[in-house]
Amino acid sequence: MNNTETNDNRLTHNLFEHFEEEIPSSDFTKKTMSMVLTEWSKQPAATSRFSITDYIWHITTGIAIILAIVFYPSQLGLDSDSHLMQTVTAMAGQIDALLGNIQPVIWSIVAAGILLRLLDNILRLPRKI
Amino acid sequence: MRNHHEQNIIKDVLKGDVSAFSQIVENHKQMVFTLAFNILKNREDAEEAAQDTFVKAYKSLAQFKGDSSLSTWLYRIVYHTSISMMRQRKNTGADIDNPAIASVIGEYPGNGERLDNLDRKKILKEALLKLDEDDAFVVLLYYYKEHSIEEISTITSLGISNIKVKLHRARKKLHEILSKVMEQEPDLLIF
Repeated sequence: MNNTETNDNRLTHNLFEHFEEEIPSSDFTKKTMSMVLTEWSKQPAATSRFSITDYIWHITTGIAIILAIVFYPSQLGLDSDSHLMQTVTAMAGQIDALLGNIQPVIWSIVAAGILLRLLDNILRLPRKI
Repeated sequence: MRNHHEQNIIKDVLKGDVSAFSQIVENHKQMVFTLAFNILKNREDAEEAAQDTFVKAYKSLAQFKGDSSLSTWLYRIVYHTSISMMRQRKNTGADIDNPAIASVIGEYPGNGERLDNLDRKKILKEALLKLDEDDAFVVLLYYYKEHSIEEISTITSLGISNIKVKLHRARKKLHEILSKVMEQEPDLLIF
């Protein structure tokens, strides 16, 4: 291969100018893109976003509703004289005793859930359905 | 400039604008087909290989890191796609009976008349088709696309020594093929 460089020096590039072969099909691009689009359609639906805030939101909302019913039935328009509400009121006392010092914690969790939900709507965190 | 433009096209495709991929097809279809044709020696097969190449490129576009040019990346895909197809179809090499490579060389008895540029290209194209698949591919990348041997090694996964051997062998064979009728066309005897 000692004459490689010599041969290369003698190579005239214009021999290869416009050397590309003509494609038989005049609609090669169209047909190729049709195949590409078929592949594109096979892709799974855009990954739904996953957000842990959904779970926090549902939990805190449930807690908030329960607490509201238990401790503020009159404000919610519930008949506090009904048997059901009297039972609930009785339970409220027990719950209040049970929760004790952790009541602020519970309300903090509720507030955090609401805040996260608001942030989620703004930040659009990934979510899985 | 073109690289920057193609990088933008790739970004658009990855964002979901699949129609932008047609630009990549348009820009590279000729060369991709040419490379496939020189391996497969058959136009229909080469067109199929070229289409497969672009589909594979689309499917793996997210993995294209941009550390080589898009064309180099495509040539790598078309090389492996064509070689794979060739092996599947048990194509053993240049077929003298293949109409795609029906020899035109015989029509030029070397009677002293200079050929026009078109004829010279045609003869050279047909001479390339008589080479082994790998050899023709390497010759095209080296002389036509002016890739370095290292780049060709990256594209084909062949060793550098192997590529040098192929180039040497291809030049020798082309010289044999062309010398008969090319006495009046010394430029074509550069091989």
